[in-house]
Amino acid sequence: MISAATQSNPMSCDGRLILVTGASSGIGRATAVLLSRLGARLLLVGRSQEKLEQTLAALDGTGHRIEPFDLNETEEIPAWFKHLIAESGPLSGLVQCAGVQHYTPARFITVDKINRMMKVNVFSTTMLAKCCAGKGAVLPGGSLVFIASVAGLVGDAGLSVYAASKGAVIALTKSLALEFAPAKIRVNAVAPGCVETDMLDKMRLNLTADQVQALAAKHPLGFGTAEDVAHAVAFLLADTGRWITGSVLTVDGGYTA
Amino acid sequence: MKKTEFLKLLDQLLENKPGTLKGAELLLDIDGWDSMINLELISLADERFGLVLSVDLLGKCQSIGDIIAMMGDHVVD
Repeated sequence: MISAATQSNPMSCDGRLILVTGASSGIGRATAVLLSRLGARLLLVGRSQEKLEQTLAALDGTGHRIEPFDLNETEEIPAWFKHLIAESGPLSGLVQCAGVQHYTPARFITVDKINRMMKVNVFSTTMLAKCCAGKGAVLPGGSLVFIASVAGLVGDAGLSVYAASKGAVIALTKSLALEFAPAKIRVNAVAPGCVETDMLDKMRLNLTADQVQALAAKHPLGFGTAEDVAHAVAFLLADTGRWITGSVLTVDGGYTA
Repeated sequence: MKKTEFLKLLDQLLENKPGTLKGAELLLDIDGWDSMINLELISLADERFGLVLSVDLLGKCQSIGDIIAMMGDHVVD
């Protein structure tokens, strides 16, 4: 059933409660800002209260909340999430933007480095999905969007552990989509290429000027912006994505073309 | 961190026996020294010292002494 608000604007998220992790910066912040303009109420999750407050100040509309929480505390996620839903009511959507990226050449991989990468990129995503499977956590018609990466689709030297973590997010998305479909909850991933965020600034430290130029050349449309990714996320959350589940939407300026 | 400890860390990265590096070596003469080591040094400097280095900066180093100098007060005699 398509609502009147959706008939006039299929991207409308009017009145929907959407949880955005990694909302303190980059793609998470841009997504929260866009969703607020589309009428959503946001639960903003991130480690830094100060940065979350900056995101909150940039939102349109009312009824938003900040929820400082460290998703590295994977064991704590179920209790935290249960409490959150008890206070806020069921979600219409969840966007998992929290993540880390490090260059780790194969010969310097350690178990500790793998664990740190997997913890936030994979374990926290999996635990959030588990929580969303709980009774009354997400409304029918709801949508979960996980931020993966083109690194989960094509290779890049020095990024094998990161790539494995994002490949896992893509695999997770596909199986969860089938599992959640009977509840009319959709699960999709967005796989961005390089976008102008703090993460790219950090990545630039690991690359020579020539390597940065070569990386830019791999994106025929140039590097993207956090807003470019936010648009794709909103598309999958809104009714524009109502017949899409288990998909990986690449938003990469042609990187994987 | 003491210079000797830092040299031990570099030995570990290069899979050398501890004590192989003495601190005066030229990078060109060190077996196994390549651009991947620089990536690891960036991560090491960030995690251990909160120091922001870049591949471009490290690329200007010619010796272990230059690398140590890059670490500033975080590596001392």
